[in-house]
Amino acid sequence: MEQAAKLQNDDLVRRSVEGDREAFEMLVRQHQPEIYRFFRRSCATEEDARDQCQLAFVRAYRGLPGFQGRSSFRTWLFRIAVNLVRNYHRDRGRRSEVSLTNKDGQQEMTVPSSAPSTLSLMQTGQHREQLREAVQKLPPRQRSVVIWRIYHDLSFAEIAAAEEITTNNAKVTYCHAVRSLKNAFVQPAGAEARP
Amino acid sequence: MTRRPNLRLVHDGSREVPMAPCPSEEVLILYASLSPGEQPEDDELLDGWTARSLADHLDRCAACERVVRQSGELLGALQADELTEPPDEFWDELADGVMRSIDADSTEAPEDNHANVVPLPELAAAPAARPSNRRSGRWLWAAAAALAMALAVWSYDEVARDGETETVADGGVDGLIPNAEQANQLAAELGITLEGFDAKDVTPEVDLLDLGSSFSDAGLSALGELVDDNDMDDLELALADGDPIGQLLELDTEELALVLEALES
Repeated sequence: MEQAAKLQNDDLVRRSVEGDREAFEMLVRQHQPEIYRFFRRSCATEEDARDQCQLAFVRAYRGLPGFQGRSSFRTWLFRIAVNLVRNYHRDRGRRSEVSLTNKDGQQEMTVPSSAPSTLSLMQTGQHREQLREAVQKLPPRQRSVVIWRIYHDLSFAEIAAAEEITTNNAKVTYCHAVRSLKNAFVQPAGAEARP
Repeated sequence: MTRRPNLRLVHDGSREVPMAPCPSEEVLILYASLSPGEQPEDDELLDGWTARSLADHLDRCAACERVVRQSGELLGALQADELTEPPDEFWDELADGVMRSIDADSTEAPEDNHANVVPLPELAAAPAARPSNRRSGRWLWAAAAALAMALAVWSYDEVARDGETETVADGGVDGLIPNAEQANQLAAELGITLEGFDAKDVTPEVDLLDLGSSFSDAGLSALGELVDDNDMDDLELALADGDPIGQLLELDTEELALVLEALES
């Protein structure tokens, strides 16, 4: 079944590259839920997510003549989405936001003044919103890696392909992101320090 | 990722034996994020640790177990944050919007087909890229030229720092700007100095976003604005897939200088 879907997808891609507009529209309908959800997690508003998602497919269409199939069409779309999100946050004045990097270049997260002291408090809607904002404030690559991993259930190999990094780099980036979030939202373990 | 030695003694039933050093926090986070059955127990997590070896360690180390638990709670909280699914008609509207944009794009910018390569002589006589024509093939060529210039500067800086001639060998553009002399030559063609450019932000991976910032920071605002643009992902993708923009980067220095001249005219 999965193989049949792949063959169908490959055929749609091939026809799209050849200029078949209807085939491309079918690809859009096939992939838009996944791509939209990535943008929904990455952008500040639903409207922005919709606009960026639309832009991603338009750019994919424009880039089709150069698509050589070295990666899957899905991974190629992921790369477009990753780049768009980076631009999106940069245009929103990323540099004026709270710095997440300390003077030593280590990633850190600024704890909101109303941050919960324990993770259990995050069960409330207010703190879920804080957690969502914290994810959006992660450095670009950390943010997208976390979203791919946690909300799209991509393997680290798939994330590496989307981000054009090594699998090991994907793992380390993911760990840095989770550590930043954990440091921001989990009470410091002063009383129970690791040995 | 440093490992802290753990010299505590643990009981193995009849005697006390030294406990293995604790893994880094990254290893523990990675372990906490594994889906059941996702990774064979003997596959490496990081730093030589496997799920199996870590599980053994966690059985005996309460502190590491706590880190894993907290990480798991965080990941659980993240996963519990579910998005509201849009109604079915949303997807139809989204797809229709995409296709309308594509149709409009095709009508407004027929020259935007990557297969249409602007011949160099025409490009040399063309005006510089401006927002109104950024999506044209001409804009993409100009952006590619800016990228080439960035690589030249990066090469220059590398040479200046190391005191030796090196080849820019990265991202399929090996041999584009082979040495500092040519970088200087290109800079001279543009009437700019490279002295104020600090290439420390330009990573060996040639991050295009950083290139734009580096240009701007160096006072080369015209180039900075050109590179630091929303359409750079187009360029990056095109480069990755070897379309005519990539071909541009294989032009020799003299041809590249023509492009740069057009860019700055």
